[in-house]
Amino acid sequence: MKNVARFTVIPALLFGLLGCTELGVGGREAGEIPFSLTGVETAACPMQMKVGESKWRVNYFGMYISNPAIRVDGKWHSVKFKQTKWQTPTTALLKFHTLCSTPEEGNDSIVLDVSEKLLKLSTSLRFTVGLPFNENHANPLTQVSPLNDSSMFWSWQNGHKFLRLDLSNTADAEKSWSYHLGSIGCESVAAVRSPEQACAFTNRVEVILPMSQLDYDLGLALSVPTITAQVNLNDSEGCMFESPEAQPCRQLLKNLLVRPWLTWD
Amino acid sequence: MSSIVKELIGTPMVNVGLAVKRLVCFTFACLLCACSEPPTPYSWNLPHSVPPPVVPHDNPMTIESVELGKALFFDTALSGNNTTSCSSCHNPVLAFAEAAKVSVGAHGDSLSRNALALVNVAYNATFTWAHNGLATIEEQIMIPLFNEHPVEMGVTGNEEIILKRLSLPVYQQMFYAAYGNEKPSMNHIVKALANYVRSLTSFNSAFDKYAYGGDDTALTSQQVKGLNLFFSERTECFHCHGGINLTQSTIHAAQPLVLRPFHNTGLYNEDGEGGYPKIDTGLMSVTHNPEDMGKFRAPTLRNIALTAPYMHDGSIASLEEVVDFYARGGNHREITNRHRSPFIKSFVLTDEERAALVAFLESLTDTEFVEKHRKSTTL
Repeated sequence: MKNVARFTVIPALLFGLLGCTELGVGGREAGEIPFSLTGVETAACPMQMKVGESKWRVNYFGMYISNPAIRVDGKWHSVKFKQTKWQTPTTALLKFHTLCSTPEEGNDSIVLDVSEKLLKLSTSLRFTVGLPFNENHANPLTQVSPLNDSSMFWSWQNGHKFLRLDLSNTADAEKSWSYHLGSIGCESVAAVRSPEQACAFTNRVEVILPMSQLDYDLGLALSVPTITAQVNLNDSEGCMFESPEAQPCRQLLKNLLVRPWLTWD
Repeated sequence: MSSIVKELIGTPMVNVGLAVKRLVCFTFACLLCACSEPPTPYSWNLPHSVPPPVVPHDNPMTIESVELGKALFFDTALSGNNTTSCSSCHNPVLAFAEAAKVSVGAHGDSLSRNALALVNVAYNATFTWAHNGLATIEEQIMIPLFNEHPVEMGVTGNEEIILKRLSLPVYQQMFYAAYGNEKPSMNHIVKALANYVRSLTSFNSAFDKYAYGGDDTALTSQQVKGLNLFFSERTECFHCHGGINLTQSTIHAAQPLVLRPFHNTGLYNEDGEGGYPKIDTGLMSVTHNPEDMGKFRAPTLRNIALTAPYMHDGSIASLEEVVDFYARGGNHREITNRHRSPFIKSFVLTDEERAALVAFLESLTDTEFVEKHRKSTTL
């Protein structure tokens, strides 16, 4: 009798537990969209990226996205992120560089607060790389996670880094390269005062990803080399808080706008 | 009649004598409980917008444990040879830092590091100058107490005599009030010290009044100029010294994301390959990972004007010299150093800008904090 109970009750309990976590296809949470990096050796720790003949260590790679929406029957519908330490209802933080050493300190997926059924009806996913004005420039002390991650924050005046990519050359010790994208030309009397109006260059990038109605359980492939395409990493120290008119900022922003750096996997 | 009493005496089958005995014991236990006042929860008294720190579940903050920790912190009885207290190296007048380059232990051993200021340690994501394996202040405190190479407080091997010294009636009363047991123990000593250190919060500098209080008059125009330089990509200061506690290595109750960075500032390059002196290789001495050579935690800059000398070994005497150090991109800039943080880049400041940056750093002094704890020195 004991064995019968063991073989019937325990599996039943396990199935019951699985049912509670709302796991969908492939053990994925409903609305979850994982991101996988391409063009990067994720098996190495720290991760490495080959550009031309040189190898670059990925010391930091993080990105805020916001205001997700899905297109159903020809109309855009705003949706929310599920609230977690990595997401508020309208914003999410992805952080990749820590995944290999301390996975709990990184995040490589977003979770939309939508049902599998709704996602199946969607024909496009849209979101913004960056943060809305209010969240971007609010008091960092009263912000909730993940908006209070100080490593992604400049100051109240300039707000957050929307995208942060720090690289160092594995062969040339002195050579490092950083891309810190965020709003610039923000006017206020001090770094700890919020601007009252939009910054001269908001530098938010809208991403629209068409999807077939069969593709509801796909992940996204993020190509880091595409973000830095047409930029010689050895020629400059990168782009940090400079005008998008200056090189290499102009090319980097163009890459985000027109190159396929983010595609369905 | 309560269900417990019913259970004790209500069943006819129970032996009456046994029931009476149980009732007496139960009543006595209740009386004892009534006599033992639970400790009083500690109130952080933080400014409105500052989130509280994270506190370990097994050592809640109470007024009684903080008071006990404070008494222990200033008492030389806690060192093996009764010569040294925590405050010997952590002076409240200096924001609990020390004017000496490096600290000297109870037996006269020189340590390799400058005593860190004890300011908002409750918000630290990691502890000591460079250690990624200490999760709580309680764990960190074991190091100065029990370290043998070098000896700091010299507790190891002297536990019995120390506990005997701390068995005075006044301490018995404090241990009982804090932890319900009048007998001192190393466990309760460590917990009480941790809670006192945890209580040393400082968020009332002129910078706080300006930044978080919205008081436009709290900083001079020179200090605002320095603030803007500090938060610029030109000087890069905020990349390591950002966030609520002016160090990225910070955690609090509203911040579940873990940030525990360590940086090599290029202070040394002994071998042309970025090596630090063998006496202290920073995080590498803990992890034994060559990638961690010379990496240290960026300390808080709160009250930094009071905590000279600077850097992990106290090798830079003044704030002006620290600014000059970063302006020249660290030491030995001419030699390749793969360990140096990419954010240590040389920058040029005019004399006026240099003075403004130092003036801003001086605006981080919380005089109320210092005055409050100055009184502790008279204990």
